[in-house]
Amino acid sequence: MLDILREEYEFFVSYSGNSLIMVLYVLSLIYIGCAGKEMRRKLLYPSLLLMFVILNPFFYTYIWKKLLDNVFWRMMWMFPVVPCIAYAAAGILGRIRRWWLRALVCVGMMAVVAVSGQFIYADNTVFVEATNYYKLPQEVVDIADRICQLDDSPRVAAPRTLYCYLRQYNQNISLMYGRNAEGYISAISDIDQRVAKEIESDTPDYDYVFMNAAYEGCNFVITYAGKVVPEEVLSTYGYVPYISMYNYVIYANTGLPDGGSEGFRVTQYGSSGKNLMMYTVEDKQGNLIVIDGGSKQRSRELLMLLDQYDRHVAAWIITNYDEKHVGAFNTILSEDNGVVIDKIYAAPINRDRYLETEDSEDNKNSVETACKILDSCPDVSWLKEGDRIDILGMSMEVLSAWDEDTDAMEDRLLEAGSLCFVLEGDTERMLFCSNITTDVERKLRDKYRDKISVTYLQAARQGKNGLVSNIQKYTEPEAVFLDAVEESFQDKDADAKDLALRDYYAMSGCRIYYYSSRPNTVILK
Amino acid sequence: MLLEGLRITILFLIIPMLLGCGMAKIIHVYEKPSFSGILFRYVVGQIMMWAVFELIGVPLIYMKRSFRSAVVIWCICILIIVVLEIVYIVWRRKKESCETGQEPMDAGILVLALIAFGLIGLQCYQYVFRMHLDKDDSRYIVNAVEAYENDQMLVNNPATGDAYTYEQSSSVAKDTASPWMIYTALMAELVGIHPTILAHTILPVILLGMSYMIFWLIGEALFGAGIFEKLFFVIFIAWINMFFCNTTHTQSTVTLVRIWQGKAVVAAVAIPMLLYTLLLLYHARGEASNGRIYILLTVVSLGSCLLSGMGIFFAGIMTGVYGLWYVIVSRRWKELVGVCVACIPTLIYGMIYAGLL
Repeated sequence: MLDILREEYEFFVSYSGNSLIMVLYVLSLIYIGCAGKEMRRKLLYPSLLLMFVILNPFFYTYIWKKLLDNVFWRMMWMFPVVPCIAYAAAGILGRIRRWWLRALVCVGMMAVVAVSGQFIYADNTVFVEATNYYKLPQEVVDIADRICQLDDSPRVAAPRTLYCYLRQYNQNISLMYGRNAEGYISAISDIDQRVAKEIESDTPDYDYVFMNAAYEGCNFVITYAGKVVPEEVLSTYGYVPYISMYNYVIYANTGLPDGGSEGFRVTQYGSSGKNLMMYTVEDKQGNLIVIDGGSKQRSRELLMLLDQYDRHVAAWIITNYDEKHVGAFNTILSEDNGVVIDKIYAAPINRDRYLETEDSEDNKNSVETACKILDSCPDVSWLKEGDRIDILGMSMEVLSAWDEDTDAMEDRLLEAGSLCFVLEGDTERMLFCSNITTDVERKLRDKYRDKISVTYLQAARQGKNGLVSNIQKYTEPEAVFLDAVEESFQDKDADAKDLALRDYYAMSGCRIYYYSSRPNTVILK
Repeated sequence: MLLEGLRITILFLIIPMLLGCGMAKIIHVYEKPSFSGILFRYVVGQIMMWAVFELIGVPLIYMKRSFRSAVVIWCICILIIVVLEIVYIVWRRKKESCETGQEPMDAGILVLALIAFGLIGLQCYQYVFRMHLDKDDSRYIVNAVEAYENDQMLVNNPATGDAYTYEQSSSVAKDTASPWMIYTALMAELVGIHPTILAHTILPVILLGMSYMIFWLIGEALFGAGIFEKLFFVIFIAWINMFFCNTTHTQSTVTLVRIWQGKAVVAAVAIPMLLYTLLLLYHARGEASNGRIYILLTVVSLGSCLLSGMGIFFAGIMTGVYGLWYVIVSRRWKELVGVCVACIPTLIYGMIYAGLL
């Protein structure tokens, strides 16, 4: 009860700002109470009844809070604060017969009001000088005009100082995220959220910004002047500086196809602590592939992500049955939440053999749950080494999966039996190693040496297999994904082996992605 | 410019007055010409225009009809109502003798009137000649601009311009139930001015004017014929509004800063109008015309529903609380029917707002 009253009081403060005008309101109610039976019946009692209905803890808990949530203070607009005070003031003045005394009292009461409240026009930021008929910032009007000279229906990634106003001026301008970046009308993807954040950042990751802006069809990117965009980034994604205006630099990509640059966007998600594996791949038609999905704790985040695809997954690839890989899959598929999966590609597993060798009850449960779900799903393909399938126009080739050799192992069967595969776009390839052991890496090195040379690599076991298998010499990626937070590699006590692979790729100029900057994306061309 | 001025005069002055005249005759309130009667007719006429749009706009948005079709249907509806009301007024006038109510005028009144105009004028000046930037316009104004420029209603996410996805449907339901910004676009279309300009410059003056007109009428309901008290009442309303601005959340702040947004119109116009109508109801208790005021109350509730979700619910809450209280006071229990009827818009549009319809 006290908590509810405290909440209501907080709303009251956020509404009135503890203005003394509320004291005048109470005084005016007392005046009305003394103004005769008629006035009490007409104004006082219903006002008090209304206050009772609005502030009643029962109604607050069961109706108003559910209806209005964090804008409960708007209910207080129904308190007739202003008319009641004005009534009391006018009523008092009406009783005074001498004009000079009336004027004096009137001025005095006005002064009381002025002292009790805050003058709206005293704040010079509330109203500013208008420079155009639209009453929009002049830079918005000028920038929109310049952009529309080049393209009459541009798509723009803009900083927060512009995105609220551009579309008020010209509806033909579409925005990558707009004010949704502030959680306004609807949730946006984590990728768009990060783009918005990078543009505002003191040290923006412009590679990320321009890569995703191009992929999402933004032929204009507006950045703050003074934060220089590297030439290399501009040339990679086809942008050129168009114009510098006010405090902004506008970059244009006139050759960008409608709908954005081609390719498949691979995204690494993750968590701030626990290691897990959660990737998505999307195509230009809005189809989505989920790879693993991460642990149970990520299921809500994943479901929100799936919302953006109307809860439709074109393909779900399961590489490993550890909770960190299939926890979210198990949770989502166990619920009736409208998620539709066209096809599931699963790593094979010898359950009996696995259960014989596994001690962890959690892992056993995770495997049992996943297998039970998969048994009940109609469209499951169990992949094995050498399988090659077409998936959303990409080629997927399995390089390693659970087999007889795995059965023969004594421990770490789940890791060794992980699904390791290459996704191949038109010109680029990405190797997903899941959780494979160094023994499996050796097999890849020896058997698939020509196939493991890729553009992008998801390193096995957070990149902590070390350099033992020597696989790194054959992969030669431009970018490598380590499924861990960066801090885990900065720990002074970290094992030298854990750091070796990371250091190797860093030395070779390879871009390294950690969870710290998630979601991380690359475009697989 | 001249053409736009003419259109503004017709749309924001003549049509509301014509509509309000009919309503005044129907509900037997301010039938005789007077200053307050003019204000009453104007305000009621404006709210009737809102109510008509709420009635036709919501289904048209649901049916994904074009914006222009909504404009045409609204114009036809308004025209029909105006014609019917003129016929009704002419018919009534033959039966009645017409008296004019002349209110006294002296120097003191003139001074107070000038002070009131000065204060309201200062507030209008800020709206007309200065600029307030509000991020919420990235939703409200953009919805209006989309309708105006692309001839479609609430199809795209205003923040980005992309089509709404399934997960955003609750957002659409809220805007559909209270399409105030589509009404703004309709006004812009008929006047021939871009919605952003209309909303930021012309609408504020009209809405602010309406707000003070309603307060004048409330003053009359509270003080009766005392013109000094009424003027002091309006002066103090204007004065308090300028000082009850300690936060961005008070009704005074939204009235003086962003009155073009639906929720601000609720605070500035709808809530005072509901209060006024309910005061009228109180005054008319025991009179034969009492039942007719429920017609006005229902129209005001309907007009409030157009403005925002707050308008939908506040209309129901205020009608319920004040209406019930007045029924208890007058002990005319059959009037509960009238209170329930006036709550029907809240019920229907509340369900639409919540996505239940």
